[in-house]
Amino acid sequence: MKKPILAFFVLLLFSFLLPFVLQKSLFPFYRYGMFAEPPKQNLTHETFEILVYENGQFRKFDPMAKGLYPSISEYLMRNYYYRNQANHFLSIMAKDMGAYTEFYMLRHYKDGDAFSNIITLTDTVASYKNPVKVEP
Amino acid sequence: MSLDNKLVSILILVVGLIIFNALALGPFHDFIEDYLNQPQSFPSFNGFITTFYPRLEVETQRFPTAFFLGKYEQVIYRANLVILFSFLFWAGIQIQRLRDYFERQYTVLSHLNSLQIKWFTVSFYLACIYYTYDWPANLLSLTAVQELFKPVGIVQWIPFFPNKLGIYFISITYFFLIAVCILYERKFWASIGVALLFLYQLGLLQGFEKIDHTYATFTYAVILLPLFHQNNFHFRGMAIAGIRISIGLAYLFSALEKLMTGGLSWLSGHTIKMQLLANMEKGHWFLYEPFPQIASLFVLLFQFFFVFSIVSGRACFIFVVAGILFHWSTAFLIDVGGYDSPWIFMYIFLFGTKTFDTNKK
Repeated sequence: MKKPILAFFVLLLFSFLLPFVLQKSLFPFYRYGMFAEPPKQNLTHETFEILVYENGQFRKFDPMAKGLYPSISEYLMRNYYYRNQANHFLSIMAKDMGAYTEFYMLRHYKDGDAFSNIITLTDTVASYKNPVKVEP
Repeated sequence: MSLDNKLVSILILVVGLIIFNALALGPFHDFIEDYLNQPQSFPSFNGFITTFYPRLEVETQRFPTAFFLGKYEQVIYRANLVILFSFLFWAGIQIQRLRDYFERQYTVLSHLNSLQIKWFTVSFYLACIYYTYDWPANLLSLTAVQELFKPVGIVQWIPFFPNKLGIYFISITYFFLIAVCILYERKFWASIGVALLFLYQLGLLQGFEKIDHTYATFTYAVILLPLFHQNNFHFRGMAIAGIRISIGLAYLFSALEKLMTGGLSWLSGHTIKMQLLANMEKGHWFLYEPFPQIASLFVLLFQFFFVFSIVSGRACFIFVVAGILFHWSTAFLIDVGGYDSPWIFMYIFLFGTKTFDTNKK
């Protein structure tokens, strides 16, 4: 029985070692790289949000309405923005919403050399307008 | 093992490491650099890399070639580290006293009585309900954005998002099996079913390009707990020891990642400052020095040494208190995790083996 027990513990160890060496989570085994990024001299931080223009008013879009937790939607927006597919992302969010509703993705970028000296820039990085649904 | 054999082993290790590093940091390093500059010139290799590391497509838009070369070099350094530690581990288990010590620890753990098993299984499966009761609603909402779904890990074997009917079926079966595990003893197949459905649902939730560590240690318990339902003390020993070790290793590897990625300069406090900056409402008081530096040192020491809590009762209590404070601070200051984090719940597996052992005086 000793060898299977040892094999079990070696396998358990490998479930940590493989993601560690490859620097990649292999679900359900994780790389524990949260907050491990190397320190930067500049304190930069970017966030994304979606605004909806409907009935003459802007409102903030809540990704939870689509089952996306804020932390997940933030990641998705960032990834789709860097893949130049932000408009496609908005078109998916716009599904089942009213005709002519407009969607805007905003990118807020905080930057500064010290925490007392922070500037925030905001860009509109993508937009999408829901088309009129044509009844068959 | 004779002295000659030990010397030969060390010689093989040293020569092997030299050859490995010469190749990895020499010709193969140049090949990787060429590939990163012109990925389209290496179509089959590019296909292999993007299958394995799909985020490369995103990250190449954000970072220069040097960043990815750094990642590649990290793989080599980490492989060296693992080889060296494996060798040290192998050398360690050749020492009789160390082997005896771990065998004694394992023997204590493997003799769980029925009361202990009931305590661990009932608590854990009740926690499963508490931590996952909202999954069906989340999954149902996510069907609206299933175009964004990119399956990860083992979920890639079922590469589509289930429809609403499928989610109802999965959820009802999952909670039914949990109830069976709570109400009846030794339900091996029910606990296997819970494990598979837990992993599948978690995989679906994590298939939206964001890996979340909330359930990292909890997942090990889901996978290993079916062994509790086997009438064999070795299986039970492996389960409880495996869960304990995985909790310790999760913290240890978090610390190692920080040291390997950020180096000792991680202690400068910049990383913590950045996180606090993102949550200014609560975090701004803590941006003032030396809080970020002190917090960085505490985090690193806590994560690095937590692994000792699994072998020492006194250290266990201190580390568990520190762990609760650590998770509560991250929840309060940077909105990561929660006050009822599954990481905190998992501490129950660090206690209770002696308290409940009525066979031992």
